[in-house]
Amino acid sequence: MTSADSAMVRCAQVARTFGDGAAAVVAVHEVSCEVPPGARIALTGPSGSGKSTLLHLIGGLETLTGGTITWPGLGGPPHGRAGVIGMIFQGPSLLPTLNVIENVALPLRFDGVPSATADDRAARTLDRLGIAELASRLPEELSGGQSQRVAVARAVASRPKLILADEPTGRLDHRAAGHVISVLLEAADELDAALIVSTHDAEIAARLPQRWTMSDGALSSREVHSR
Amino acid sequence: MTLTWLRGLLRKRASRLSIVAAGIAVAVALLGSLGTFLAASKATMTKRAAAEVAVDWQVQESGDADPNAVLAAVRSAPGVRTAVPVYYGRTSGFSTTGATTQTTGPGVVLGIPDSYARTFPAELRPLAGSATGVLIVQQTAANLHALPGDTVSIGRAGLSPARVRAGGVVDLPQADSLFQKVGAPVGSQPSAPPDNVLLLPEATWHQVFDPLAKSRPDLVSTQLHVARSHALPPDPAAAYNAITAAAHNLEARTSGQAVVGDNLGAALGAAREDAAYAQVLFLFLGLPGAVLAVLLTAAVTGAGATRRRREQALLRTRGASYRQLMWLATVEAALVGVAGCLAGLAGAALVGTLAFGSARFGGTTATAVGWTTVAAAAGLAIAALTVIVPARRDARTATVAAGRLTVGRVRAPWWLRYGLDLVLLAAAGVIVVMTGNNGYQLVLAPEGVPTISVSYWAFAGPALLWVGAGLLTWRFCDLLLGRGRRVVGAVLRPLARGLSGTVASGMSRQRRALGRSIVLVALAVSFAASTAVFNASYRQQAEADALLTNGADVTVTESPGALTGPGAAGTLAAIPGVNGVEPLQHRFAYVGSDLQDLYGVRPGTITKATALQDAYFTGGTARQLMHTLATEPDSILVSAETVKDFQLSPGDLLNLRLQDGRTKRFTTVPFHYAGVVKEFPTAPKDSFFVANASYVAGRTGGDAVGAFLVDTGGRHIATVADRVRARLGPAATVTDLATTRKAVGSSLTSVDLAGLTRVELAFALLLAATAGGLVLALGLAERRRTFAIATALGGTGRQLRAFVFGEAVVLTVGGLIAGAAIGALLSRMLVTVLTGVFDPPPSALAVPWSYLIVVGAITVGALALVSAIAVRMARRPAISVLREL
Repeated sequence: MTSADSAMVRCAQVARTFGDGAAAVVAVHEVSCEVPPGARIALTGPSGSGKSTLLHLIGGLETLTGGTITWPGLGGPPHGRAGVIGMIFQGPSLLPTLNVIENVALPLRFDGVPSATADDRAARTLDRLGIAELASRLPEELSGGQSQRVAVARAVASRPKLILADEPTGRLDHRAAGHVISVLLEAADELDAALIVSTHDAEIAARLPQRWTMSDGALSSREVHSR
Repeated sequence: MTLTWLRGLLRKRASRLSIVAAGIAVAVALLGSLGTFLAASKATMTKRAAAEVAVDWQVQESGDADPNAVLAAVRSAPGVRTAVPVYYGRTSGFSTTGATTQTTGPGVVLGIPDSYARTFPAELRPLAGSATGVLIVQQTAANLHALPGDTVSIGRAGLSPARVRAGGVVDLPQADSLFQKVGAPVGSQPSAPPDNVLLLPEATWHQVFDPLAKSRPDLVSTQLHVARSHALPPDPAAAYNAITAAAHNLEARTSGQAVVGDNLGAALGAAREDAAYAQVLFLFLGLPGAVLAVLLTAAVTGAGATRRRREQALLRTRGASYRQLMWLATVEAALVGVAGCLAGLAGAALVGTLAFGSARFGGTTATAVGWTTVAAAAGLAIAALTVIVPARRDARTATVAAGRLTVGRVRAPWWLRYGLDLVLLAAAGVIVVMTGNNGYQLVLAPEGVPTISVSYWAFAGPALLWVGAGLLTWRFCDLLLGRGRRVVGAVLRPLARGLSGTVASGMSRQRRALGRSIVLVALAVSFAASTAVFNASYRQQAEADALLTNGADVTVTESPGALTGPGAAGTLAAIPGVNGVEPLQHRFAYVGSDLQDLYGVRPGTITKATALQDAYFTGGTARQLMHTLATEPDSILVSAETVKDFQLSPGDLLNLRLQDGRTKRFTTVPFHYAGVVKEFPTAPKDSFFVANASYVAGRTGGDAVGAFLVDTGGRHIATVADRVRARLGPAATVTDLATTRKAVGSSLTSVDLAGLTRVELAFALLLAATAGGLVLALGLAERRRTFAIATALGGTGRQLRAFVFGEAVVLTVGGLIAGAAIGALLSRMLVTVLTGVFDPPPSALAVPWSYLIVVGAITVGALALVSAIAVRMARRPAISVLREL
């Protein structure tokens, strides 16, 4: 088995362009990269550099306009396969009509886990993340930090091999942001999952050992730091 | 800022604004259509009422009046086109001499000018021979066995008979008014016009009756028959008041020498009652449609309330003042209001053109403009109510933080906590009972009184039922989706499988919005159902009325005194197109000193030629009472008034005196009271008897038949009637259902209600289809983000369908079941409260299943279509959707 074969995700000359002709916007331009198992990657770059789009392409949520992506470590494309990837979105992403435990259990339910088991696993995840007391609350009754912690809980409850977090601390104050990223790292460690966090916050990025920097849709640098 | 906001609205919210404008358009179109139609309909009622009158006024001169002065006064009265003298002479009887001598009892001989038939064409209907000269009225011709060319002797009291040669046979379609006692109150008018009538040219009449006038002036009189201008106010009530005032003015100007028999006023008096009923029907059947359109619009704007609150919150955090927020809301309301009004008025014009061939619904420009203004004002008010009012409420009461809320803990609304739904339902019941205490008499238009009393209070009963039942539906939805969500989950399990609990939980949290949608669908369906059932029941009873009046598809009425036996039915049965013939005896019977009609029937076969509804009887169904007459031949059905007057109990002996066929003397025939009959084919409105024909024939020694009821199976009625006439000649009177239908139908029946309900049913269908589809579509559109996130979390198409179809199923099933239940209740209450419109009252509601199935199918179809579109849209890449939102 080669190192390439063991990659969770492999991108080759990946591109994503929005619009046509003169109005076309190149969001991601010929990016080639691999995400190894257990990776801790901070995807950084200024706003509009293509971080979110690359993350969505890796998550199989966005269609390509060029290049190829394969998911050898995930057993194939993740789209429509609940629990394969744990996704944390930039904005509010909890379903407003479901309470916290139902939100956390939803990917498990999608994955066909019986409701009692799904609820039990969701409750244990909430407990592990220290937010068990929020279980019966509705999303709109949560603060921004609490919402993102619940989103983390939902992302990890199905024990994914890859966690993608798109600006998970973008709307949080410094303290709450630090707490969320700690929770995320702990969960990834516990699950031994690969983690990619897109952020333009240098302090957050510094907490992850690898840093990929994007600029004008291209992956301009890849660095490894000690944690 | 205003232009920027407006541009943003048009760019980003074009679909939503279009839907709100469409809701307003439906309300405007409905109000505009119905209002213009009502006004136009009143005008046509006036025109029809005036056109149906043969002689507008019959002016009776008093004994000492100067005829020339009265004639001059009448001719110079404003609005009078023509006035001609008509002479009435009383004869001791007519006779003809041919193979046998035929004589009649006393009669009337009219002297008419040559121009009479041209001036009053509706008064005379030529049947045979010449239309001028000496004319015999059909009944008299039958009594005398006279034909054109025969000589008729006119008996004159104290003088020798005068002989005239008949030129033709005519019918007098409005004989009742022609022979009215001018100036006499309704109760003292003759019960029937004279049986024997002859019409003479004016000069001939003078030759015959001038000698009599000298010896017996009491036997001759003169009337002036007047044709007036029919340029009347369009509203029947105003026209009635104008004509009545003109008649009173003439009487005053002639100092009482002339008394006016106001036939035109009487016709307009009936029309104003019809107009008042049309107004009541507009209120009962039309207004709920407009209210529904308003609710629909409010629901549409309400579905975007969360988004609006969020936008308001954003504007406030960026420093927008309350005044600025209100201004922006006003701009939005003006935009949708004006667009909705324009679309609605165009829709109303289209409805008018399609349904009535005129954008003004056949009305005047003034009425069309008037109702256009009213409808447009209502449209703008709806826009203000549904856009500005919620925006104002949010801006005044909601905090910025609250503006972010999208669902919120579901707390029972105040009306539910206080049981307002139950209070409204109880109030509806009380009001209906109270209305019932005055016999559901909604319109009172006493003759001679210029004002009409309309009991709009009665409208509150169905209105409160509609609102109360809607709220009760909401209560049930709240209960079922809240506490009963496990049940909902179990019901949805075949559709949602493992997600059923999650789907049910989601619906439970939005049960307020879902309940509102279910109520809206239920109200729309109930509106369609109740309107359709009322319409069908009305048509059923109008048909029953025509059948009661005529008796059967074709009815052959024998001349008085004719001794035709039931065996003649065979002759009629042989005529092509005749399915069956049923003989019906008609006698007169004394009960005490009261003379009443008696109908002898063959109880086993009577229903083969005519329809007997249970509502015609009391004390048993039609079938049971006919069975009683068959098995107990001496039993008899009597009127409720007779039961009361003679204190009868079932089984009581009732001795009637009937004429014996052999001796022509009245003989006592014993019967036993078996039940009450309120209506019977061919019978009068007042008291009468129904008995076994064989028993009557056996006890009176004669089986003479009064009428033959001819069944044609409802096909080719006019053709069969013509064949029967050709076979029988003038010996009997042949009437058919098609002609009677037109004659008995009031203007309300014949045209206006049909038009009203045609518009109603179309709008009801539209509202039922859009209510569910639109509200579901908007609700699902608001949750595009939810579905996109669910997709991003790995939800498959099937799992997304569970969410969408789960909600659609609950909405469809809940809406249709509640709608059917409310519709059934409302239909019954409408028919009860509007009893005055029905003649006779229905024993059972007529349910137009085909229309109701179409309503149900279209509602289900609209919801299924919206669900399918929502699922299809949810298949788009999740991130693309999230990026757009």
